[in-house]
Amino acid sequence: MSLLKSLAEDREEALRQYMICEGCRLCDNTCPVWPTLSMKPLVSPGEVVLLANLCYDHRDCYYACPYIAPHPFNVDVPQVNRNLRLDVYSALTLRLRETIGKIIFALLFVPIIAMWAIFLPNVFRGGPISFYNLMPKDVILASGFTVLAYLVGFALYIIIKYNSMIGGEYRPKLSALPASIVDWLRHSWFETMHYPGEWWSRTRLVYHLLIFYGFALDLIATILGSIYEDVLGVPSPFPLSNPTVVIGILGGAMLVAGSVIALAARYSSIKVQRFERVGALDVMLAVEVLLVGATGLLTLGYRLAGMAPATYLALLVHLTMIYVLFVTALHSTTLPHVILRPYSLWIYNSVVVPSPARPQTHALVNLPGHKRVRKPIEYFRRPRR
Amino acid sequence: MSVTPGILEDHYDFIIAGHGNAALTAAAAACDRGKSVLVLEAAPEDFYGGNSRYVEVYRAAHRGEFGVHYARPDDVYTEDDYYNDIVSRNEGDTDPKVARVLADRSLETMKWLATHGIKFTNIVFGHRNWDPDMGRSGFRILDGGMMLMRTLLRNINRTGGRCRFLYNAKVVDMELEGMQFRRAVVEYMGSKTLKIAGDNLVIASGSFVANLQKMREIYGPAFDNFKIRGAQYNTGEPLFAMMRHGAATVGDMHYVHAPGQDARAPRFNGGISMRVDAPPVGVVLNKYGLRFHDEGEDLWIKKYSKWGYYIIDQPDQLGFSIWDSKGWGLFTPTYLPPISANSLEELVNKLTEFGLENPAQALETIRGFNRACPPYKGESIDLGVLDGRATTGITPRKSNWSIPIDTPPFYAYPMRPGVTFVYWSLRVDEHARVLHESGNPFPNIYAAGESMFATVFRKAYIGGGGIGVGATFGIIAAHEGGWL
Repeated sequence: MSLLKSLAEDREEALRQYMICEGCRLCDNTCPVWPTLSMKPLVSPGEVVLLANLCYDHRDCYYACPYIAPHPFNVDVPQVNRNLRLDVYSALTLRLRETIGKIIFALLFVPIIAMWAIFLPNVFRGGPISFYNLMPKDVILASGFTVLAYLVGFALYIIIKYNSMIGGEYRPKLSALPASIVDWLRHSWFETMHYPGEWWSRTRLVYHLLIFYGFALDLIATILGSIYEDVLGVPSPFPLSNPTVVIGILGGAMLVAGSVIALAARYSSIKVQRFERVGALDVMLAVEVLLVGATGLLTLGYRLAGMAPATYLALLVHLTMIYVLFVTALHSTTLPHVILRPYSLWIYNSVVVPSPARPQTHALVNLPGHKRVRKPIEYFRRPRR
Repeated sequence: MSVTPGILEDHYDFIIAGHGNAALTAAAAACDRGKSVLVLEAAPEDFYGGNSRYVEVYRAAHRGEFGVHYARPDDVYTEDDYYNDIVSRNEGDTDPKVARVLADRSLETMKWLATHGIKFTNIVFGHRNWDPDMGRSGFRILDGGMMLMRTLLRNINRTGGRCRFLYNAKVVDMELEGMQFRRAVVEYMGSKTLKIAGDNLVIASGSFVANLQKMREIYGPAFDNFKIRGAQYNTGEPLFAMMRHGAATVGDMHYVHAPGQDARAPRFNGGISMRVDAPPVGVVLNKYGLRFHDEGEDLWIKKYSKWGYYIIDQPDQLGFSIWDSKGWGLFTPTYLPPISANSLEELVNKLTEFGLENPAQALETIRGFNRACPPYKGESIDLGVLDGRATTGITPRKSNWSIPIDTPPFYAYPMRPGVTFVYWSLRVDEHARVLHESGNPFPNIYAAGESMFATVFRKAYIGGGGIGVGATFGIIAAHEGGWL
């Protein structure tokens, strides 16, 4: 089945299910999808795409829904949104499994082979350990900026395509940007999960935070390193006491922990809501994140232990893994997710939140059970005899 | 934990017929007391809960301690207010002792539910169920009835009780010794008959509106035109069995709670997504193209449940709710898109496919209605207040929100009576014990929820009262059983 046909079919299915939701709304406290849905009487095909990107896959609405199978209406909004997100992401990115995709994918491995071919002999160089003994600084910088430019260009392309998909009425406003950044950094909408006992849905928040901030810390460490070297004139490699190294280790450890928890959660969660269509991709990305974090820590460990060839070898593997991770992230669901999730939330904060058509938010009533109480309250003061 | 007949115990402290809100609160309360409980559900495990799947609002008396959702900050809703609401809406036709218990225990019941994991939110302006009255007294159950039942199920065995669930098991009779309940006769998987002994029986199996045979007896062939909004397993066998044992009943089997339901809905389980909320923005015609009731009589929240009941009296139990593009966005649409057309002629012609017999008369009625509307200059219509825009010179008149149907595209929903429950049930005393015709209670047979609903509500129910009678009397039954 071609991807575009699948997108059209999943849109139809989403429109059908949202018409049922329009009349019911029992679950409208769970996430930003429902306030957006209530803005007009009929859902448009473009709006469906926005809704899919506002869906956090909590599955609370699934568990609250009276119309799930075996009911003939057969509603499963998280599933429909997962399908739609995958369709949209596939339409936005290069398609790995399509014919042209295969050639491009093959070409992407040329730089890796070239890197190993050119720099492998440097592994056995003597002298004090410096990464620049393995690879000249200019090469590292040039390849880094090439990947960065490619990433920025791709991100812009995704946003332009996405804007044309969701229709003209949903555009972000600058005034809503601060609130959206806070929401993004705080993972605000993750907090609304409250289905009792689904411990693994809470682990999603844990591993997402770990990987998100692990990457952020490693990015900060990289920038800080270049500031130390090029601005302050402190030559690399840095000692263990340097903030760059401390932050880098912390970030790496968070990546390792996050990806391990992600894999564990995947294999122990209930099957009914597991998304098999991207199952292999999710596992691959988690493993890649794990390898990036682990090889980074390994490189650092060998360097601090003063083992030169092992350090260089680990560094080559580490750089390879970073490159593979970026390539697969760019050409799979990850980059669209990283861009479109905060972008859609920004649209939500710009268009939906200030809208008078949106119902006010519901507040939880402060009752003892909202903090879990093990011992039930006494309904009758004294049992009647 | 669900069980099969092979591993049933010889005897249970509580046998509970049903698996909805009333049954599960009773089961949880009995488990809290360390009792052994068997819950018998007629539906398969994937489809438990009956009408509780669709519930949303709980009504409670309060003193403003929640501080979140009142029309005015100093608003309170006392137990007396609740009681007076019940009495006035039912025109005094209620059991004062039982109604008093419902009102007095409402806040405690909510706290009890909260300690069992149920969360409540306020009802805000703009929500479908908002009106000044509900905004003051109602609380939304967070994520509705499915989440209520899932949460209770999950927390039910936490406190040391032994609760077991047998699905596909319908209570068809009970064996009594004198007035004492001894054994429940259960039909398992439609054929196998089991006899299960228990100390107490709680009947929380809802009403009988999905019992096709019984409903046909009451309504005759007209019943074939009805939609049942709830589950198809709501067949009322325990109620009829209790009647055979001489239990007293109360209420009128002919009086149903029935909103207008989309005629294209499935026979069962259409639920709330199929409710037609369009009448106040337009007109409602019968199959001969005539109006038959005031569409703007009162706030929609007070009137929606009556439209199915009005349609029962119309030929072939068919109604058509018609409005135009000005009305879009003022009400929640149903699952299926409305029938639409760019001219009224085209619309009424399309409606002939759905049973409209006299399109010329329909056209004439709509035009007559348009002429009778007060002049309309594009002002916005607010269905939350009675705006007094009444028609002049037509019968029946439309008292509020009358705007001419003249801006294409035009829309219509075909409507059928959507039966939700019936104002008839077993009669209980204030301890939730089922009463015998002689006036004495059965000592160990209890009823909760829709099965004893008409003890309190006989003329009208008030929003949030349904969960109230289920949870309050479910808990009371579980607390009374074994003490008396």
